[in-house]
Amino acid sequence: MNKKLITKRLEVLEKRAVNNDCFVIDWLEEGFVAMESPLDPEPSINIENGIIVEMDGKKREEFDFVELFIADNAINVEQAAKMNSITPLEVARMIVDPNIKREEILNYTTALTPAFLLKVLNSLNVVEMMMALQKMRPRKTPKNQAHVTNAKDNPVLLACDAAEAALRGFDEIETTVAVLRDAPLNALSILVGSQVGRPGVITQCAVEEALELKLGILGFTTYAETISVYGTEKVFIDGDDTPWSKAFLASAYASRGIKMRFTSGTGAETLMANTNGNSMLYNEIKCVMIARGAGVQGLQNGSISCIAIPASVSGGLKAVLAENLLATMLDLEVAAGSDQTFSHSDLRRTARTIPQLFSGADLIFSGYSAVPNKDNMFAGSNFDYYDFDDFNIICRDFKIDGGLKPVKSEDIIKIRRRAAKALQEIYEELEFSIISDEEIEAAVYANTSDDLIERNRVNDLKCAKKLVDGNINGLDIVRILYRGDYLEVSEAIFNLLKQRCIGDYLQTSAVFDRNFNVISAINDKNDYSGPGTGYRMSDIRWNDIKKIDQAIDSKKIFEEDDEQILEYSLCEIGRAKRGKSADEIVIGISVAFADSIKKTISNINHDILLKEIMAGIEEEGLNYRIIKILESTDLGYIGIAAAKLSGSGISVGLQSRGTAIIHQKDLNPLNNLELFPQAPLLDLKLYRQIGKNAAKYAKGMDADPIFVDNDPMARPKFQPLAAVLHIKETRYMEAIQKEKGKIPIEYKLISKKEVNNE
Amino acid sequence: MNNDQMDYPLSKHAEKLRSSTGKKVSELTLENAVSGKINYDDFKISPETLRLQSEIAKVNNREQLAKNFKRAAELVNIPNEIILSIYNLLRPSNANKEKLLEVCDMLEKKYGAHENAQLIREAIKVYEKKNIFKNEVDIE
Repeated sequence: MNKKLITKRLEVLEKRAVNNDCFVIDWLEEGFVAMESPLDPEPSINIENGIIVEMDGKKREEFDFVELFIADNAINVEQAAKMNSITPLEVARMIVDPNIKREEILNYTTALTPAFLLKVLNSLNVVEMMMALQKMRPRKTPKNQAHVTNAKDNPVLLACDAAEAALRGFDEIETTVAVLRDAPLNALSILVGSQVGRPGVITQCAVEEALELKLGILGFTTYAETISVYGTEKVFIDGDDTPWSKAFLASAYASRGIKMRFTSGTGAETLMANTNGNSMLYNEIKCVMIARGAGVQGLQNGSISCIAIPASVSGGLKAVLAENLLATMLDLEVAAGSDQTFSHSDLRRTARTIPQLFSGADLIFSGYSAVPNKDNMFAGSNFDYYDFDDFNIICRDFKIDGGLKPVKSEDIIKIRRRAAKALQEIYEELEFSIISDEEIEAAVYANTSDDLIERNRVNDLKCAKKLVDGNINGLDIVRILYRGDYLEVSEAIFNLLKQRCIGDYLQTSAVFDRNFNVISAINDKNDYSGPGTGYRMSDIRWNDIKKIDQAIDSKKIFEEDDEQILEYSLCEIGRAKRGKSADEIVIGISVAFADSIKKTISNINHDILLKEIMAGIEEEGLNYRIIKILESTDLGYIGIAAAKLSGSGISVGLQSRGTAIIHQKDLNPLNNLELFPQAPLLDLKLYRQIGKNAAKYAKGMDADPIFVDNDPMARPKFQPLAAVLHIKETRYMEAIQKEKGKIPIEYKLISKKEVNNE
Repeated sequence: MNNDQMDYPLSKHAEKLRSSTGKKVSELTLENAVSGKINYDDFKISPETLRLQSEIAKVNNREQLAKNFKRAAELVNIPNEIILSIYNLLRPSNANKEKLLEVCDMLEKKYGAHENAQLIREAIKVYEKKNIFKNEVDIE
């Protein structure tokens, strides 16, 4: 066997996370191609007596049922003749042109055939698609959806996690099951938890169609989403449905006052081996058109559970963005996916999310795993709980509204406990198996479902059955919570029930704020038409997003002196004179050293640091003097000024934050013997070595330059703090200069005991 | 219907809206809910409200959505079990042509659900052409 030629670097590269992902070479005939397949048909349309008799090169007699449904329900036949007078490129340009209003574009896009729409999408590059998504999504304000599940279907943890998800800002929460029979209890848990976290959040439980509808009818869920549609007849049949059965289901939901959207995504037809030889996007376009034709208000797409299929081929993630965009081009609420793991690579999973996050979607994720992926029963989402800080900080970095905000741990704990307690009350009143206080505490503080107190699963399953088989409904929950002193939760669930009687949230892209005001594509219409229009973050919202706990309070560091009590302190001797002895090294310190600043950036106390340098000098048999430089806080200047005062002409310069230099009197400030600019990397051993080397130079000996490890992460970790400390020191210098002038002053380091004696 | 009634959101007009049991939406209060003056059925959306939502969808150029709400309005008073059974009959190979025609008949005569009947008639035509009715030979 030939040994593969490989460098050591390539060996490391090969082991990178991205190389654990599976990639596939385009295979046109079986639809293993994202969006540019020569086998996709050319657009065409022929209408006779108001009926489409030919579409995309196919006669009506040859249509499969998907094409029939689309032709008869999804295409605006009155406008369809327009298609012959405009090119896909022209439509694509209109979509990106900020001067052409969304409404005007919809007149065209809702009258086009699948092949025409495919050509429009193929005319756009990814940045244009992002601009288009920003403009075409129906609702102005972007929002986000969470997954809340756990591997044990533990009801207490579900309630806690739903409450936390709501607190973090999600407007919709979706759960599903580990065991199907648990569904009613899971739905109840996230209903209660979500309303504790933030009244008005809407919830769903993704299970089999009939049960899902039943849970909605009983008032345990407020919307539905997992009503799947497919782009070819064969796959639709395999999915045990037809466009007509799904259209009927859509009306059934609306008739019970329950919001719903369909689900589809690129790759499903490929995975189910019936693509009709078309690209993934071509088939997905048909799904989006089915959703429009059936009259549902929205669609969850973005490949969803088949994401690894488009992600495996070239241009696949562009196709995923294109399908989200298409939903908005057909005036549908888009819940934009990013809800399934598809890559081992953090870079790749971030890149996949950027277009939807930066452009904004009705729901940017559908959903974001608000629990660790280990407990995500949708088989894991692209972002999970452990990504919350990254997500919030990315939004803060770019001033983006991702629908979430940073929250404080004390608020999280409070809300989790209240949710669990509310559920405890309900279980007690309904005579379900008791939730103990110990269980609650375990769930409040849990990381994963491994940290819980085990429940009796058989009993819970019996209770789940009672919840749907007996005479219990949402109103009973309202009454129990009211009596049990959970007034605000009771009221929130009551309001959710009341809203289904009004139906405002059945309209496109609807969610509720905490006061149950509906926010939809009607009263929050996306009016983007260039800079200064469309969604612009309010100051209140921006302040929420800005407030991350990790940020240091630079003003506080600036204003307050270090509280450290040093064992040794500097005692002023007087005006510094030029040294005469060739045996001395001057240690030049900056103005705030061991004064208003008492420790380095890596928390080394200044007295200890000085002691190490002094010891290093003494080891080489030389003496030292400590001189404070008041003229400048620049390290090079401190070094050279100290060197000029040094009898040997050699100095060690130190800034308060810990940066160090070995200097010589006849060099330029920026030219030096040795420079240690990254204070965070310096430890006591190195400071001693600096003292030693300075002494060696003074003795005219050769010294091995000191090697400091290269840490590429020192900058992200410390640079802003270094700037704060440098600002502090410089302002302090200006104050001292007014008081004492700029003449260097000599100090000695004495112990506290000596200080008291003096 | 005047423009005032169609003003969205309809929640602003709770005085004028009624649930399918005839309760005014403004009577749907937490106090009435906990005291038992209203019950769960009183939270059912009425056909009239769904038709108003349908009008709102139409005004906003959402023809298909408007049509969906119209179908929904017809389904309000049909019991859950019947709704679920119709859905199941519409799934592939679950009913023969006669059965689905019976459903259309029932929808129209018993519930006046013409829009839904029309949707199912459209399905029947396609199911026949595509041969996705229940295969009679396979029975038992």
